Parts: sequence; structure tokens; C-alpha cells
Amino acid sequence: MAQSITGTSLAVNAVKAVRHPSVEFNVAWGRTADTFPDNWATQSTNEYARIRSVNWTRQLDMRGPLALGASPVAALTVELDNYDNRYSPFNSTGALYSDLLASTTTAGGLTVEYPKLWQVPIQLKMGFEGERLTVFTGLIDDPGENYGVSGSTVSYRCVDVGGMLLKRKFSTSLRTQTNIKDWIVYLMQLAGADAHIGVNMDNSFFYLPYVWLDDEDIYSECSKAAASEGGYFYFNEGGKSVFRNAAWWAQKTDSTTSVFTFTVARFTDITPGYDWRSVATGALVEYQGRQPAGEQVVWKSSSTIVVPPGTDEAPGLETLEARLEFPCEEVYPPATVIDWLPINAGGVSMADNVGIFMRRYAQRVQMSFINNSHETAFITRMQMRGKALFGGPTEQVDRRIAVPLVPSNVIRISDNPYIQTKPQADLVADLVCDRMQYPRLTYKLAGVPAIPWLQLGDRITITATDPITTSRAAIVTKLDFAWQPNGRFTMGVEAVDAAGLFQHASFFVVGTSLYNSATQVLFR
Amino acid sequence: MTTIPFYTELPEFNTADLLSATRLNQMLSNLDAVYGLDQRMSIGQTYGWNSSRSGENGSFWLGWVAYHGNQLKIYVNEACTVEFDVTQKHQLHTVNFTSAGLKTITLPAGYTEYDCYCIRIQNQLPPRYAYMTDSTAAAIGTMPAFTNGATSSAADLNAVLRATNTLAEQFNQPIPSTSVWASGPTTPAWLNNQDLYSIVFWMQHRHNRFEFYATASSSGGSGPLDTLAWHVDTTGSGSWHQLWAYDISRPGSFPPAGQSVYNISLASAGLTVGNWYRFRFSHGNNGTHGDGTSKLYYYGEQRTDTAALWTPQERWDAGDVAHGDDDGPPQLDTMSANLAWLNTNRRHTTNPVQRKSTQERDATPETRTERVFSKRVHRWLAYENDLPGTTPTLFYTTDKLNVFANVTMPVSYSTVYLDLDTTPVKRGMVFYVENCNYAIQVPDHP
Repeated sequence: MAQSITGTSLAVNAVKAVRHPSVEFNVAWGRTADTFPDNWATQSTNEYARIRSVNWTRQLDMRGPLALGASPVAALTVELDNYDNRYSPFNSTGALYSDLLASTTTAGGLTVEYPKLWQVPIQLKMGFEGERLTVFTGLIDDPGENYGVSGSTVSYRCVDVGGMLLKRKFSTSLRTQTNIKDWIVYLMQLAGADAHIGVNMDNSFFYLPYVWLDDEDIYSECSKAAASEGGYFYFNEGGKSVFRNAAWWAQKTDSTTSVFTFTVARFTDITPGYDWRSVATGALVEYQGRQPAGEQVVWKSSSTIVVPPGTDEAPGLETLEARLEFPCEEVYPPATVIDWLPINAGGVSMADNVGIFMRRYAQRVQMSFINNSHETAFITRMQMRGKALFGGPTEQVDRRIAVPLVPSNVIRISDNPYIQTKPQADLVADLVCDRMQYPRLTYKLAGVPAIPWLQLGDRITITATDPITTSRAAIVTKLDFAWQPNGRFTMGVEAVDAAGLFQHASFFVVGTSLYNSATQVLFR
Repeated sequence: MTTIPFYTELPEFNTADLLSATRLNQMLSNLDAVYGLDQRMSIGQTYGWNSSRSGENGSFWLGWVAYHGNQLKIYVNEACTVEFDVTQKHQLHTVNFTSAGLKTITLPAGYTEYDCYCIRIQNQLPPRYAYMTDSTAAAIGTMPAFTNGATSSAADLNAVLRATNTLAEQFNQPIPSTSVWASGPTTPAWLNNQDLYSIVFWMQHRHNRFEFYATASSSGGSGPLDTLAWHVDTTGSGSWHQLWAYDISRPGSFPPAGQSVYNISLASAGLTVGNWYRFRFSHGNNGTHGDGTSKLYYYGEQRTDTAALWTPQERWDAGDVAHGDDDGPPQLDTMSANLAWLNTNRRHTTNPVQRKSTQERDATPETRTERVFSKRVHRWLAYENDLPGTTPTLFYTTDKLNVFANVTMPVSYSTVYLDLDTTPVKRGMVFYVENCNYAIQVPDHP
């Protein structure tokens, strides 16, 4: 969806022969991902005057089948002039010193100082003639400094909000029959990223039958969940999450109606590509159902658990994290004798003196044993029971293309734990076959005067009549922007030809199409 | 979460969604799953013990039900006291009735879904039948017409989704077992209030065919032929209508070579779907010696053909035109038509009470346990041991219905839930259980 430019003059100013870029680079010094600004105007500093260069990239992953493309986190690199050592963390006279350097004291009394530039929120706005759009929202991921004959600079490699979620791993309890959108929202809330939840995420076609996390990162899981029915997950320019389902390019207005036309006057180079290597003759999509397996022993201790005696000040404490053999809908509190029996070395029961506190997730349990007595407690052969969930045997949907263009190239899609049902696998297999059965036409445009409102998934028109007689419609899959003061504000565009992504031109839209309309046909 | 066999919950539609063939096909599969639950075998409940005398001291009738619903419907044969939850797992609930007839007992809150509770009538006649229902179960309302040329709406499709969910929940009932029955001098059918050579039971009429598997050998000596017969009491007051009869030559046996399961029509009896009727299987033991025997392994109403009013649901392909109420198949209105038809069957989606399979007779102190059979639909089998020292055993067959292999089940004197997926019993197979008070299939367990 192209960003809205309604009410602005950006459309006019962006295509003028002489353009005057307008830049705003906000850095929320002293803040982190956990204290992300909710008001950039008051909670950040505009550092645009220091920019030597800035470039940023966002893309859909085109390495695999288009239908299952994930989106790598968008990245931005900015170089700032540091002639006065403003950005030098160890410069104690610098204006930002207190925001750039932290210190702590070790257990042995040593003072350790370190720059606290990691995950500092940033925002870039670009436009023309004083009108700007937010084109990147993220965090500093990799700061660097350079001092020398070419001047003093700092460079910050930044990632979008997805980069923050990549580094946040969690375990959850088991959830059932979950809409992908709801699962994404839940995971983002779990990661403390409520402020980054997008408001217009798509609904999924199917429920995810069983979902849980077991020490897994949020971004990857959201991407896999989206891919389980041919969708995409990423963060947009404003730092909000986006989930687009399989119908994205066939449904959204900006994907079905051209947002911008690139004529030869609007780029310096065009490189059409024809990808025969990925032409498919079919698709194999694996799915693995899950089913309740009833009450099972899901963990047994590997050795004797020793709980030290308490003191007059505090009870004895031993902690243990058990990874369960199966994910569980419910883990039962251990029953004395059947599941555990704390004793002293002489076999005397200490069940009245030793307690257990548990934090239960779908596939792991954190246990704390509390010993209120003055003698050591031993727990042998402890076990945990729960309502387990079994992974059924893996099955697959096998689709073959009726008239293949190459001898044999069956695309296999496996290892997505969110594909658990045959309808999910059917949908993915159909999409892959639709999109990969012809040599994929791609376009790379370089030296393009930047159009900052363009977004991934937008439909564009490419008009280059000499090499390509008829204008082509294409879907944007990658955007590279670059700007430096007194230089050009340019972009590179990668797009995939829109023809053949789907087998039909017009689909049945619920709420708009008429029943029995001959031109409105069913999507996959 | 309750598991509905072969059913997959789906998200609702939103305006501007693209209508997907895969998604529509899943909706059809869900409807087929509900249809299948409606079309499952209707198994009779053999109530009572050998005494038909009212007020016999020490006699009692016990039944078990997997709790699902909120009220107990019980047809009592005379004034009596009905006790629910006799073993007081939660609380004993007692109701007195001053007359015969179909009674409703509204059950207080607090009982656990799919836990099994005992029902008792003491020193009075046993009931004809008993079952649980849900008084709050809602009808599905009018289904969308999907008229060709009309503007589509998410509301139309969501009405189908919700109605399918509603009916799936209502049709997803526990499935009790019923008795394997034997006649003959060495295995008297004293559990039933009939003579040695017949079994009588009440059954809810749901299908137009009746299926059974029985074996018999004729009595010896001279005299007329032995006759096996099925009758149904069309009025409830003894108007026995013959459904089927078979003469066994003497000496001879049943079934004849090449025959196994019999499937007979009920059309001639003029029964009303949803009503309960008394059925009788008898062995006319006319030989001089009177020593003919028979054994009834498996019996109940089972249709053979797709129901007449059910429209087969052809699947959709990508690129298909979304036909509304004409020009198909497939057509969207097929879902509405089938849901409307299923809706008419709601009234007989009951949760029958299973008579306790071990019955004690006071007049001649004797305890007898019987095998109970069922046809697998659900995943879990709720059961508990009947008598100390016995081992619950699951019998199954992959061949003839009188040739069984068996596996033992864990001993438990409280309700335990066996995962049938861990046994050789696949969905659709007939299985028998013995040494249990009850054996009830449930879709989920506490």
C-alpha cells in the first residue's frame, strides 16, 4: 500500500526537474526499544543537519518461491558528521555524553563503562519542499566511529522494529484455533511491542490449529505463521507490523491499480531478468497435524535433585528448567509420591518441608524447590505429567503443473511447523504452482529519482518502449533509497511482472461481487 | 477444547475478502462432518432387569451418562424416585415423580463435562429410556439464499459458518454402548424383562434401515422350523409389527453361508424420525428339545444410502464462478439447503444414558456382566471397572463380527478415558467391552 500523500504536493514536487529534498532524522537519545518514543517531536532530537549520507533498503525475500517470501528486516545506514565529537560516547564534554555512556560496578567493585547506543530508536522522514513522509522507523543496531584525516564521523547501521523482535525469545503456553493476525498480535504483546502493532493487518484464511513458542524469537515465528498460508509479515515505514495474506497482490487496491509509472525519463538503467532456474513443474508441501495425546509422562529428571537446607534467614532453594518431551495443553502440578517425593538421605519423607513452585509453558517448566527444613532434601526420579500434544506423521500435498515448461523441478516446502492441515498445504501448493510455472520476469530499475511514498507490494507500470514495446505492470518487491546533502535523492526498484502471478485477472470480492458473476472467480 | 471428529474451525469472513476455493471446500468438509455425526448408527438401549414387577424389594436400575447438556429426560414407567449422581462425584440430585411418562430433570450447575455420572431408580420399574439434552441449544435460523445476481456479503458466509459450528456442537454427542445378547438354556437372557428367547429394547428412530449381525443354531428334535425375527412396537403398547423373519431349517444354523451383516428396511413400519420405539429380536425355539441358541452381536439403525434430502457437496476449484442458487453445481446455496435439512434433525441429537452393564438380581442373588458394543466415532472411551478382580477388556474385529481379538484396558474404579487411537480400533470399527460398568465414547475428557 503506497503511503497516502493526499493533501500534499509531494506528487507534483517529486517529479519536478529540480527537486528540493526535505529531511528529518530523529534520534531518541537515551531511549531504548523498551522506551520507544510515542511523540517524536518532544522525545527525540532532529540530527538531519549532521547527515553525510543515508541509505535504506526494504524488500520481500525473493530467494524462495514468491508465494512464501518472508521479508528480511529493513535496514538503514546513516553517516553523521562528528567534527565536534558530539556522538563520541567517551567524550565527557559532549552534549550527549549522559545519553551515550553508561557505567556499572562489578561484584568485585570495578567500574565498567560502555556506550549505550544499541537499540536507540530512530526515525527518518523524507520528502520535498518541507513536506515529509516517514520512510523508516527502527533502532540503531551497529554503531561505529571513525576519526582521521577524512574527518570525524559516526555511522549507525539501523534495523526496523523487526530487528528488535529477532532478539527477543520467549516461551508460551499452548493456544488453539488461532487466527494468524491474533497470533501475531499476541506475540508482539508478549515482546512488549504493543506500540508497533499494525491496525490493518489481514485476516487469515484458516486458523492455526495449535501454536506455541519454545524459546523462539518473535520475528521468525510471525514470518513462519504468515508463510503458512502464503502470506508475508514485515514492518512498514512507520514501524507498524504488517500481515498480508495470500491474496495481497490480488486484492489490495495499490496492488491491483498502478501507483506510479516509470518511463525512461525516470530511471537511468533497467535490467529485465528472466528466471528459468526457479520455473516449477509442481509443488510438494508438507504438513504435520497435531493431536491431543491424553495424559502422558512428559518429563523425567535425569539425576537426583538436591535441595540445600534452609537457614534461619531464608529457605534453601534449587531451580531447574525442564524441557518437556511433548508440548502440553496442560502440565499438572506434581503429585506427591506418584511424581515426586522429597526425602532425606535416610529415606524419611520431607514432603511437609519441601515445596515446589512452577512456571509452566507449552514445552518447558521452570521449577523452584524451596526447602524449609535444616537438612538437605533429595528428590529421585521426579516426573511431570500433562495433557500432551503429539505431532502426527508428516504428510504432503503433491501438485503437478499440467503443461510444464521444464523437465522437472518440483518445489518442496517443508519445515514450517505452522502448516498443520491439508487445506493450508493445498492453498500454499496452489499458490506456488500458480506463481512459479512460468519464467518469472523481474525488473531492476536504477538511478530512479526517489518516490518516497512507494511501498512493497505496490503495482507500478514500467514503460520502456524500445526494449519492451508494451508497458508492463509489476509488483514492487524491493526498494533501495539513498540521499546525501547536495546530492541526488535516488532509489532503486526491483519488481516482479504482475502477469501470471495469479491465473485469473479478477476475483470474487466478498461484499462487492454478485453471486454468479461470470467475471469474478474464486481465489485459491 | 472439544474435538469434533473431522471438523476444522474456520475464521469468519470480512468484507473485501477474496472468496477462496480452498476455504469454501473446508466449509463443505465441515458440513460433511456434521452430516456424518447425524448419520451415525442409532443404537438401542436395553433397559431393565429380569423382573417386570413393580416394587420388588432390593431391585434397582442403574444407568450411566457422560455429562453433556443440562437436563435429563427420562421416561419412567410408574411413579418413582430418580437419583442423579448416585456415587456423589459432585452432588446427589433426587427428583420424585408421581406418574409415568417422559419427565425432565433440570440439573444444577457444577457437574463436569464428559465426566460419567450414575443414575438410579430403586424398587420401581426401570425406565423405558433416558437421555440428556441441552435446553439452551439454539436453532440456526434462516439460512442465506445466495440468490444469483444479488450482491454478496460476509454476513451470508458467516451465517453458514456459525450455523455449521452451532450444529457441530449439538450433534457432537457422547456415544454409549449397548448389550451383546445371547439366548438359550446355557446363557439365559435374564437381563431383559422378556423370556429366554427374545430381547426387547427401546431405540430412537433416526434412519430408514436397520442393521444387525447375529448367529443362531436350531433346536434339536422334530417340529416346525426355528424362526428368527425382528419386530417393532409401533404404538408403544404392544402393536408388534414384523420387520424381518428367517426360518432356520432343523438341524441348521444362521447366518447362511455367504451372508453376514443384514440390513433391513423399516419403511413398512411407518415410524416417525426422532421418536423412541420398542424393538424385539426373538428366536422362535420350536424344536422338541428347545435347545436352540442365538447370539446378537451388533444391531441398530443404520442407513445404507445418502439421505434423500442431503445434497451432495461438489468441491470448488480456483477460477470457478461463485454460483449462488443456480447454474452449478457447485452452488453456494447447497450449504444453506443442507444446513436447513440438518437443522430439522436437531431434536434427535441426544446423549443417551447407558444402562449399567452389570446388573444384580435380588430374588436370586446373582451378578451378571455383559459385553457392550459400540461403533467407534470418537477418540476417547470413558469406562470404569465393574467388579473387583476383573480386568476391563476391549474386543475388536477386523473380519467377522463374531471373531475377536482383544486387549486389556487399565483397571480403574473411577472414570478413566482410554485413547482409542492407542488401540487397534479405528474409527468406524465395531468393538466390544466387558467387565465395565459402562463404556461411553466421548469427544473430549475433563
